[in-house]
Amino acid sequence: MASFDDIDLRTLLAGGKRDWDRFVAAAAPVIHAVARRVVAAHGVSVDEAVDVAQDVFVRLCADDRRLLRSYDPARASLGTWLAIVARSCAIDHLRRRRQSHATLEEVPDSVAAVEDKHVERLNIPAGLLTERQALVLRLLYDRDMDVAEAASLLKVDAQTVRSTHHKAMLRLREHFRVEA
Amino acid sequence: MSETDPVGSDKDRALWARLKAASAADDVARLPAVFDEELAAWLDGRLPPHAAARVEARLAADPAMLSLALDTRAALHEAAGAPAPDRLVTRAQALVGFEVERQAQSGGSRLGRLGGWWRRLELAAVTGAFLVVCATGFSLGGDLQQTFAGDGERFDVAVYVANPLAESEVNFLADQGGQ
Repeated sequence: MASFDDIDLRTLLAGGKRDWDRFVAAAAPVIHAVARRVVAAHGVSVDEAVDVAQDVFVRLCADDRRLLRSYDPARASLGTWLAIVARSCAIDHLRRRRQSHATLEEVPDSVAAVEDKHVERLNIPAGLLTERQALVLRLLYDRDMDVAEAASLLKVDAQTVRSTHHKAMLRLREHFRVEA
Repeated sequence: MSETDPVGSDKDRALWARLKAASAADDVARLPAVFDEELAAWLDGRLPPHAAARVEARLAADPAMLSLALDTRAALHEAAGAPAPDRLVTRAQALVGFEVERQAQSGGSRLGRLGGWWRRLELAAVTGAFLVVCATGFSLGGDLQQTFAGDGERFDVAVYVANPLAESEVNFLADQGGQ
């Protein structure tokens, strides 16, 4: 499988066909995986993932690769950045597609809910928990992640996650005992 | 929470449920926005602690943002083991081919426009040359005319006719011609 390490960003942005082909070979699995997940979440046939992914590539090379030029290799890896950008592009694609095919009333609630911007609030007094502690509780309790998964996401070891969870719960118990 | 590596107790879970139902809230709207690049950097573990804390505050308070982060990470894992369909790769690679062709076409049209100008230049050159030839010819013709006209002034019958006819002979010929 082609690797992002083979990509010379400078020559890619200069517009070389060979560099574009190499970029596509490396990026297609990531973009297609994102597209598959997005179409599945929106209740669209997985067969359309290729069209959605193709639209992402179109956006990447449009306007003299304006979107691709916004990538800063000093900040993040190309693969991760692409995955996030591809998700936004894919959701935009499906939104446009939905607008052209159906009115809002015709969209099933289950599908519309995916775009719901309602935010489920984390009702913890400000400053009681650190950001990391709050996130660990979110991952473990709301997302049903196990410790290893949370540790992998946070780039820490499992013991650190357990410790963070423990300290967070201590603070919460203490706080609510005082308030009660 | 997963059963594979349990952490916390039922009491913890119950407390968490109460917290979610409580009135005090972190307002996600007052949290600073997290941009795509920052989230990507956080997923790569490249952010310094203070920036990572800002992203994590947002992730903890904003389920949509957290879903984005988790989905992205899952997609990256999936991509590592699943190649993209060939037709996607072919179509995407052809985008730049088409672009090059399009540029070539637009370049071709530029050439076409240049060709048009060239043809107009050719036409103008030919027309100019024609006019020059005409003018030259006209002026040449005028000179000859003048030359002949001048020659006419100096025309002397005696030069061309060594022995002119006598008047009676002329009259005789005229009579013959009239008959």
